Amino acid sequence: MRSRDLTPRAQQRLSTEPNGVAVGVLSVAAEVKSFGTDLRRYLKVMSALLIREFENRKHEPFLSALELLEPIVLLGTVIGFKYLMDSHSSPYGTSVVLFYASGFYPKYLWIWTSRYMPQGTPRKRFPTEQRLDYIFVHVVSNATDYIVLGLLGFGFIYLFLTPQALPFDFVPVFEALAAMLALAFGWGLISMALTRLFRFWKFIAMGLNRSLIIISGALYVPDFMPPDFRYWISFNPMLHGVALFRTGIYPTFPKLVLDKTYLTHWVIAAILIGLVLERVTRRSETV
Amino acid sequence: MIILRDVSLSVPQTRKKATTLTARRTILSDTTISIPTDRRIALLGGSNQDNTAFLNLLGGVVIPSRGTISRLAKVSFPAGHLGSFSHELSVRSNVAHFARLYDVDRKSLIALVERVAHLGPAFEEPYGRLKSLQKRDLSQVISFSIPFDVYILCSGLPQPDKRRGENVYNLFLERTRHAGMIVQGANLRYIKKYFEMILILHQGKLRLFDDIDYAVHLAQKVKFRASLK
Repeated sequence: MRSRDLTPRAQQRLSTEPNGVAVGVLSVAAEVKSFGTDLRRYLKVMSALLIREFENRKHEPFLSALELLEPIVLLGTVIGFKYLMDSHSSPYGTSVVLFYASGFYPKYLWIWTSRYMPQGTPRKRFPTEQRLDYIFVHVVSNATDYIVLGLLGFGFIYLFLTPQALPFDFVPVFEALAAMLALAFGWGLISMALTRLFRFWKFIAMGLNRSLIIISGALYVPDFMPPDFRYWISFNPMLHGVALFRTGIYPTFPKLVLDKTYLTHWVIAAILIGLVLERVTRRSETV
Repeated sequence: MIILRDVSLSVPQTRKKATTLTARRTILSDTTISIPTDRRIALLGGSNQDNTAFLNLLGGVVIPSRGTISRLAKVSFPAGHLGSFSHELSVRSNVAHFARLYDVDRKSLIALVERVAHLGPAFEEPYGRLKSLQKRDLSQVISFSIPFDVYILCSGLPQPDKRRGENVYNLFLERTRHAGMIVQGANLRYIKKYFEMILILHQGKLRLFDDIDYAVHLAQKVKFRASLK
């Protein structure tokens, strides 16, 4: 029997150390194909990508921190502007900082997670890595960044400004963050496919994502707005995410506009459309 | 065995700024073929660019425009493929990433690559600081360091040279003692001596020959016709 008729595992056992190069020390992965082994390999690839992502961040800690500064700068600007206008009262609750922070936080979780979805061509990857793996890693690492920022930011507000920063009910807070994250995942995929079609889309998306802050209820309480305006802005799913987040912080936050079912429908639709577009554009990315 | 079922591959005519709407050129059209993974196979016929795209397809770097590919063996990534190396991380961390990706022992892989690649202190430095030739060599060494069933080479067979010494060549010889290989750009002088089968890619069609003399003759004819055009 020729040595190449043997299984790879048997071949590995045969490996010696010819020409001074030891190769027999490396083990061969299991050859049996099953759902279990496939899942194990997939998890290994995901963990490899996550470990590398965090190693990359360790090398550029200031860059990662700088990227998170935008919502903090915006928060400072809005509060500074409000003080300049001599209006010290908060649109809701006792703390101006807490009100705007609770609006910008879920909104920016959406903005940062949905932007820059990794869309490099397969040439920029190795065969075991898929585009969707990179996207999952991007979502997980951004979510981790934002959870840390949230803990630090709201912890600071709790310690130095108002004890109200500690949510009285964590369920709607987590629901809102999960919904915003899922919405960002879906919208990010859609945006990625559109960028593949029209290169300038990413610049439009950058402006669009930020301009949506105005109608997402981060700067005001939607229920206190005129009925017509309230009706039109209620079509924005982010408004419901922001309102849901605030219901976990303020016990009596008005819930007239809040519609959790509408938000859920948006999340499901965005993820479905996003995954379909990812699938459709996957083959066309062959370069 | 690598099984291609109704596989078509087309690539954008211009790689720069290619979008979904960019015009495409066909490299492979509706091909069904089984390619053994335990043989030494040379790829001839098409232009270098087309052959490389086809090998990238076999290696899984590129996905087919249509059809499915089943790989019933551990197929290497094309040796020299630069893929997703992280430029900020050290060479050591990048090698560790490969060990995690391909599920091999991390310490053994790092030790083997460190010994064979001969990078010296550069092994601890960021990957981005390596010269482009060193990057290609490193990718080759990593590819040969992982025990695959078949190795894919886009730029001929590795030869012992002054720059890299004999380690890479020896590692390659050791690996291919038991594993198969699919090679593009092999010197015609070596083909008859070294290879057992020949793949010819021409005008979107792919054929596998085990009659080396006939296949070489055919490939030369195809090349001659192409040169007349």
